Amino acid sequence: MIVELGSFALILSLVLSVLGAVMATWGRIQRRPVIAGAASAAMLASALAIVVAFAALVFAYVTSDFSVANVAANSHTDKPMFYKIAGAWGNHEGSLLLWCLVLTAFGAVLGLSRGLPFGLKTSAVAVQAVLSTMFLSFAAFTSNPFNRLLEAPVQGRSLNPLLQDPALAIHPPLLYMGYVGFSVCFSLAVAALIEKRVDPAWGRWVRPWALASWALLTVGIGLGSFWAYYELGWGGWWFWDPVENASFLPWLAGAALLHSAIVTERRGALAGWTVFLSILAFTFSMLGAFLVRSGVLTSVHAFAVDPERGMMLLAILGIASGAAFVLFALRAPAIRSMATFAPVSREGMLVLNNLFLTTAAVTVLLGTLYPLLLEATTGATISVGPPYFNAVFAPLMAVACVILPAGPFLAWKRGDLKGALQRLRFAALLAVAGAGLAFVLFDPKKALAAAGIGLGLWLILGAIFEVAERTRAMRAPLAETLRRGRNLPLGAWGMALAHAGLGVFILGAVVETGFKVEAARALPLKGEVAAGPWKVRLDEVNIVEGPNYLAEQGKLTVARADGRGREKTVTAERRFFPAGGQTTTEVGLDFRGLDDVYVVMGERGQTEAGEQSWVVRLYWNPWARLIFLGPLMMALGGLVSLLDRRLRVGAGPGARRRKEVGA
Amino acid sequence: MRRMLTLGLLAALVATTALAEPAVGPDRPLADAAQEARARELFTDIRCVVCQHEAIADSPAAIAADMRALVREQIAEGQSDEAIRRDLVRRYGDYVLFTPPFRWGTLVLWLGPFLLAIGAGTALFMRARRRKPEEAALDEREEAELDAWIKADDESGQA
Amino acid sequence: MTIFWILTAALTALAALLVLTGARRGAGHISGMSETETDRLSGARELAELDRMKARGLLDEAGWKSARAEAGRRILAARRAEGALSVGARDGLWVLVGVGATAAVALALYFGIGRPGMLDQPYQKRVAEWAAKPEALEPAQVAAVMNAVVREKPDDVMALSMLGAARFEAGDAVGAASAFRRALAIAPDNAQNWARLGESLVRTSEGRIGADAEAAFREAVKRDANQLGARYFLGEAALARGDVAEGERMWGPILRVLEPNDPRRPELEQLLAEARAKGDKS
Repeated sequence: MIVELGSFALILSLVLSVLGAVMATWGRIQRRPVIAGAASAAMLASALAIVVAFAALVFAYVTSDFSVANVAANSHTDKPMFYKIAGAWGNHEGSLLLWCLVLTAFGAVLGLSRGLPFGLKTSAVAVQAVLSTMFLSFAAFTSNPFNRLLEAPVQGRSLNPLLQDPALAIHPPLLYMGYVGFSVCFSLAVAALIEKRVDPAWGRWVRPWALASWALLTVGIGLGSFWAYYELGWGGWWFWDPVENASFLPWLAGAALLHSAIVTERRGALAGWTVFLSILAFTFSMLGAFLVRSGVLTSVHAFAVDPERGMMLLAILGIASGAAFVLFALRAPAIRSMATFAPVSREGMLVLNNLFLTTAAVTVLLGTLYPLLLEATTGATISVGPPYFNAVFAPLMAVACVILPAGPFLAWKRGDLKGALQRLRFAALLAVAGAGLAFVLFDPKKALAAAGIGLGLWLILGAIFEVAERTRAMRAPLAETLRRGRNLPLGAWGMALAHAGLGVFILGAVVETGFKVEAARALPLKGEVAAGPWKVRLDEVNIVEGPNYLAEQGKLTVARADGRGREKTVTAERRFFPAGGQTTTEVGLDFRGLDDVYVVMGERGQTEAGEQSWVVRLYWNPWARLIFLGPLMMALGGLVSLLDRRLRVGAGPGARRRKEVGA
Repeated sequence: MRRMLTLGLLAALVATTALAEPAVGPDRPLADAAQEARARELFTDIRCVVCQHEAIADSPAAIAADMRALVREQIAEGQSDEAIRRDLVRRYGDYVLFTPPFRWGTLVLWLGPFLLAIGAGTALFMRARRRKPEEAALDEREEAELDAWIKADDESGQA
Repeated sequence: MTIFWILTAALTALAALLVLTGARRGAGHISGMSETETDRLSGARELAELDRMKARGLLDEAGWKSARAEAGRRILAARRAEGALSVGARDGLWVLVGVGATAAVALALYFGIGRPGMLDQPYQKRVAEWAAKPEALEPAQVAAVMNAVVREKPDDVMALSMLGAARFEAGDAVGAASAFRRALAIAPDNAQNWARLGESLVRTSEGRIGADAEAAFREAVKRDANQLGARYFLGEAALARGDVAEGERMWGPILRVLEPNDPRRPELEQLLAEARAKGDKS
């Protein structure tokens, strides 16, 4: 009964979003607030209905109701409860339902917003309702999670152990909130084109949505990367896998968008760029959804879905994005802004930023789709992997990062480049010194890695120096610095944190990739293997039984090769899941400050002496912590920025007369 | 008794993992450290042909181990990196290398982004050159009008 | 069923209520903030922002003047004639019609796509149903019932044995082996369970008799020499190794017990003969 209620709720949600689309369009054309109000409420009702539907699906998973085809295909009674619930969104139909939930929910929030001009709001609600309708139709008619089986099987079919992991369980919801958050930017952009008006007021609405979506996406991608690192057992955290790239594209576009929106909000400039990037970001989100589900790309991430449904997604993408870009092409001249700025200015730097990020996105797009395109046109099969991206993407981003710290030092409209560089000279000196030091100290000597370290330091120091500049640290008494610091808008702190976070990430990525050491040996009990400054000894191996697996569990002692410091015991497992016949590894991680000592248990065998041995792989990943700390800092910076000023502005009906006073 | 059961479990673990995948001997690294380093570098560029977008450096598949052994062998024989790559392409096709070839067909792939960056950068630069004259400050009339409109009372509201 | 329709109606009614409330709120929009008001506010905010930027040193004097000019002129140019927001006399009616149509279409679609009236089948309920009528069950269902029993009484050897047998019948050899192991951990003197464990292990390795299976069969025969199934497998394993004597020892009692015209007899005898011949040759 609950399941069928969910099924009905899904359909109700679809029809309500159709109602919303129709009423919003009519309300906008004829300027009828009653109809428009009904449309916004319809979006809210649609969202609530989907919540009911999703709750019903989760209920089916919790009770292991195998009469629901989706549950029978993707669950098992032996799964721990947390993973039964997470299983609801770990498959195509369930995750699509989650996508629709976030889409309608954000549409509802848009509908409830106050302070937007009538025309803009109603148009935006209409666009969002059309998007909801398309995706809900796709869900209800082709990928309905509530399809029932008349003959319910006795047991579910899936117990995929890889999915039974906390990080992987919460990674999709975060990712989807990011992807779908850009849909609101998309709707606002299309609405602005319809209204033929892009001004700072519009920018003020787009920026928070872009920032929030981007921050959520950062955490989602970071979490996925961290999961790959500690779960897959090979020490990698980014593989330029097509599905990873599909999530990276909206991130890049979103990063460009949020910066472009800042310019539009402050000065009304870059109107065309911001609108274009809004459309692009959500296009990339939809493209990502398509790529993962269509079977077009080979990847460990891809959902197994038939190509027909993939084609339907492609059609939705084509219609929505196609229409938006056509409208953009037609209306671009009408929205051109009057605002001017010198090439060397904060706006100018942000234009460069847009350029670099967009080019980077094009690079990733090319690299991901080129094999497909080439195969489709000439039949030749090629692979595009990390070497390509390292050769093309890395230099582009490196140049962008070199330029980045100068941006915040330039004034709006016309900036003083010499002055900015003057104020940054110490930061530059320190960065170069750091690079030199790294080159000398680290072994083996790698010039490129040292340069990368210098780049990371440059970004971090640039952020610190900028805050120091604004608070007149070192030049004014401490009390004044503290006072200035307290009065510094949160947006400035957020910016510094985010830019520093990027630097931290680059430091971690460069050092870990450049200096990591790996060693593998078949060890008998009490055998040792060493990598870098660490060595590991296999103490014992036990058989452990888990709720749905059997594991060979090794207890190993990690110690420094030169004997200093403390020894620590780690546990590494190789788990075997009988129901599906799969084996997974649980990596033994020893967190040593910034570094990770990473131990993996491998296959059993025999030494020449006839003893039982196990292959033990030891990785030393220096500064690995920074790889994941960086994105966290970036997301935090985004959050801090979001908290700025939005709360200061009062724009209710009673606040007409209130005039904003500066500083 | 317990030992019997433990052995039984162990054996089951081995038996069933043996079913999942043919047993693979652990990798035998090359004796020469420099050669082994070369091998490791190559491994990251070679695609495991049965996996989903994984390099043989990362893949647990049996054929990946075979390919690793093959590459090590060829390095030990004294072949250059280039020769090894060419040999692999001869066996498996362009598909086996993660670095796409540099041909007419892949020109767009390799040069596209740089050309885009340079082209767009140039276009922006040209546009920046043609700078509009600086907007003159608002004169008194405009200031008054603006002020009136912003602070408008209900009567003077409609423009 | 009735409850289902009541809940469905409630959901639809709630949605309708929301839409109607939204419509009523929309009517209030007329007296609320109009577009001109929002424009005024944004204009004020924009100019204040420029002032703030100048105060923070992000904008120099000339830049501020120029930026303010640009902003000011744009604001003035963008003043719009109040786009008349109108409330039609029958707007409310239209909304009601829309809501009604929504309910009707949703219901119609649901009848087409969904299965109205189909009850939930939570796993626990199904297991309880199966436990209530144990006669007509398939092995997999028996296994599910026994699994529930075992979860409640983990030390019940009888239940564990039955669980193992049921899983074996249902084709889940790995699960059967696990159940038998647990039973034997509690009551190791059950020869039949040892034999069954062995058979499950043989099934997991697709017919190959591994060391662990053989060990299990030996335990079975040690406790009860008449475990014919175990003897059969031990014999087979011995013959595979080439140990003819062992094979004969194992299969001897079986051959003695079998009826003269049992079809299995000639098979066993032939296999023995072949093994002997191979043994003689080598």
